Amino acid sequence: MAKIQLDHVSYSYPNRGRPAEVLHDLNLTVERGEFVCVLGRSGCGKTTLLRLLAGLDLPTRGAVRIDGEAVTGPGTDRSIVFQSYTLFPWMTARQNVLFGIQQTGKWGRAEARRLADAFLRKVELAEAADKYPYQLSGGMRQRVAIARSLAMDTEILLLDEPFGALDTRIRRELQEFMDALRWRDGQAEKTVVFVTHDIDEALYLADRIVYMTPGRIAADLPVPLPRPRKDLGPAERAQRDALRRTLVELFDREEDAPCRCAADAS
Amino acid sequence: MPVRCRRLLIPHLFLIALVAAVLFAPKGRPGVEHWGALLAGVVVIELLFLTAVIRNRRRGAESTAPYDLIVFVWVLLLLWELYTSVSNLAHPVLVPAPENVFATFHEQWRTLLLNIAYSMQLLLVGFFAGLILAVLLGLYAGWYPRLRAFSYPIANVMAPIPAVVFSPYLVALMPTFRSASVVVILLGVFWPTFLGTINRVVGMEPQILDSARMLRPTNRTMIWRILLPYIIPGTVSGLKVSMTTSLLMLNFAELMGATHGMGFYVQNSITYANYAHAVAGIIVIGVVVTLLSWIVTKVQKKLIRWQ
Repeated sequence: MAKIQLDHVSYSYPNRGRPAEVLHDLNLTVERGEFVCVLGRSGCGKTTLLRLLAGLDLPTRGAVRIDGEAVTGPGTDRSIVFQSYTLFPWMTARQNVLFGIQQTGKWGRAEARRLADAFLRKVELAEAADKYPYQLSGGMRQRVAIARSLAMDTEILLLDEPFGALDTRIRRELQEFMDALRWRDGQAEKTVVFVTHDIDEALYLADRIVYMTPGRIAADLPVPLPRPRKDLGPAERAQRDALRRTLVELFDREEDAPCRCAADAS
Repeated sequence: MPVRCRRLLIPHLFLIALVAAVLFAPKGRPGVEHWGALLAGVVVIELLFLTAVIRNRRRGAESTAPYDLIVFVWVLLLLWELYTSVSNLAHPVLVPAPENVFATFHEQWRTLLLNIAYSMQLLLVGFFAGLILAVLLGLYAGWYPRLRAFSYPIANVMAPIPAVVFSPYLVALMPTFRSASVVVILLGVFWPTFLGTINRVVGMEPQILDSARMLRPTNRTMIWRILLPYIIPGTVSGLKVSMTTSLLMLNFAELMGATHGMGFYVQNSITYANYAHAVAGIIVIGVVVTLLSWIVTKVQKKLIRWQ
């Protein structure tokens, strides 16, 4: 059974009495352990799609299914990282991670503490455990947020442009990080849906890229490149560049088309 | 001469002028008290000024405020002294001499302290009862839409009514003056804080709310571990204003029908035409307000260390 399944999903919100449709009759299947990047311009509905997966919003029509069951709200099988404010500013890094772990209710107090410290070490922030988010750089904050997500041990990881506000160098660092962290014994543990508007980020991370134009999925491209993708051979690089050209073309084609949907949360 | 020393010179010239006027000027007004208390007061003010200067320098911030303020204080005292004790130009009863006002601090300090303690007791009970009740109910009303929908309009009507308006009625209504004062302060703090708390909860950063929802908190966890810490900085930053208005309301209430308290002390002194006591009482109220807002500032810094 597919891990995530979107079944004829539409979403609209009331806009001065006249509903504005953000997603129109979407169908998508994500397999267990797959890393899917949702790519598109801002306003295409990719954030809305992620919110439906999270259960923060519910589809107007159709159903979002996880393990075959319709999503009716947020669940402990999913965790999310936003571009900013994923952490609670009044909790230290450790308290944030710990709070996430405690909310899953899977571990006792002592074990939760041990896990929180272990995951902070994993994201190389052990020394920042007692710092508040405002004392951390943007990149460090996102690492703590990722640590919390991973520590919650959810099967599905949802990320909404998590590296969007960071500079290029830090972003690349965290991408490598993200790629490394979800593997255990050569097996992808987590199903990841990652929203981005950065083509290179998607090509670096994704098993599959879903390209969205306002309201619908315009293309669904597998990325059959070996990992890690830091140093690719010439043949693979050519393959990647071909994929990039396809995606750039998709972006360009939209340049002329008028935007159909009103707005998107992002 | 370095700038620092020159800055100290001018205030001290005024200080010398003031002391000279107090000690050596011929006195034109009868009934002026001994100058001891006044000079003791001057010494206290001078010490406060020097502490401010030293603290300023330690921090490396060279603010001109202490220098300007002290000149203002010395000039004020000097004019007061010249206008009353020396020339007796002012009304001999309505405008007391500074000697007499400062003598009041010396003679009446027990009475003054007692009245402060009495006022503070009412103030703190009313203030904290109002604050805690407002934050508590505000959190629940902010979080549960049904509670909010019904209490928000009520709060909107009640919050803008100044509590002083119904304080005479409350004084008449309540069995004792003490309970009336507490209720006046409580109401004065409650409605604005309640309304502010609801607004802060409703206006919560959407991404923080979404992050919280993704962690599936129970309502209890949501209110105590997410909403409460979230609203604390906003609530605390309004504390100084609400603390000062509470004191204002209390002093106002004390003008009617109280038998103790700062407001009563001033009112009572005026009734008996003892204006030296009245002025002393007003100065003490000023000092108390300043101390209170200083304490509140310290508490603020402690409570919102994560910002």
